[in-house]
Amino acid sequence: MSLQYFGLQKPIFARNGWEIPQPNPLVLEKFRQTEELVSIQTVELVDELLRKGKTELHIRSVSAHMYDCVGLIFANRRSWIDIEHIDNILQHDGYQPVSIDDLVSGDVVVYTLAKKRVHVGLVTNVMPAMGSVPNIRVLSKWGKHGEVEHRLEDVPYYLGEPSEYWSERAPHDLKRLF
Amino acid sequence: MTLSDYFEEIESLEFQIQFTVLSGLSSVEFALARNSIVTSMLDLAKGDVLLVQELYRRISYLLPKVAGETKLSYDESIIAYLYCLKKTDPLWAYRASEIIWDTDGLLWSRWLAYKIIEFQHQVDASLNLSSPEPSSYPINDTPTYPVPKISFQGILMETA
Repeated sequence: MSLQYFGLQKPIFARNGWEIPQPNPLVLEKFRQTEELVSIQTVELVDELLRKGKTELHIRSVSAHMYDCVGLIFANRRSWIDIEHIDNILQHDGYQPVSIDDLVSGDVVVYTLAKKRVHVGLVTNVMPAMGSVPNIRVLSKWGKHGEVEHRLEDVPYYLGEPSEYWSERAPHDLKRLF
Repeated sequence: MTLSDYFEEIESLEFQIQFTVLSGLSSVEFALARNSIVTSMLDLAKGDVLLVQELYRRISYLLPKVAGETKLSYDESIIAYLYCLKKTDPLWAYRASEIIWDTDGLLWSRWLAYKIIEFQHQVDASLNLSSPEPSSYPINDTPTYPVPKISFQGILMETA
């Protein structure tokens, strides 16, 4: 089904020209939230998580516009893109896997749950590790809610665990030159 | 636990928050399949027509409350019930999808409802039944998307 149908949705293309699938606009048509509602829900969400000990969460923003974690990074907050397409997007945009030790800000973290890719975040800061624990900050959109900046591993249970790291930088050892 | 106990759990803020953060219908279904409350309720309802009908009634009960909700919209609760209906009884799942489809303010539930309705149309089309083709859906500048008339024949044949 064409993405442009009904004129409700504009196509989004990967770097090599592949058209990134978006949800059928019929599905999103009747889902409208106000920023006020998104704010309330996001605060409730973060409060709930804070009570469970994830204490370093920072709400960057809330928006009533429909975009998700993939849309945040790969569509400039313009679109909802199902996480099931992340593998194709990384491939068509020329991303390469990197090790956690090579991460720099701007790289991408993919979270998996039982080997299924369920979430993606953007690295915002890489600080010296605290012992064996990585000290990495990530910005990601949590579903229908706001953008949250958090520690690498501090995401709700069903957003999985950080397990893949990707970068479009080439060559990936560039940072060693500086 | 009784079905009422499961309803209480599934309509709690804690339950809904777990699923509201996800980034696609595939992830939501994947998470629901791994949730112990949902899978236990599913086991309870399987093979029990009355309990399956209770799930449908619970969806009917929640839908009018969606618009008035200021925290979470029961979207995650409704999709949990619809997911169980889909797994237990396609006919009731289709009926529920129809009323969910007409409710504003839902995302996951309407997404799954759309998938169920679309699947049924494909089944009907493959069986050459009277269900309308996608191309005959109303298309105009200010679209309204009424759910096409139900054809249960495809469902019954599929589940036979």
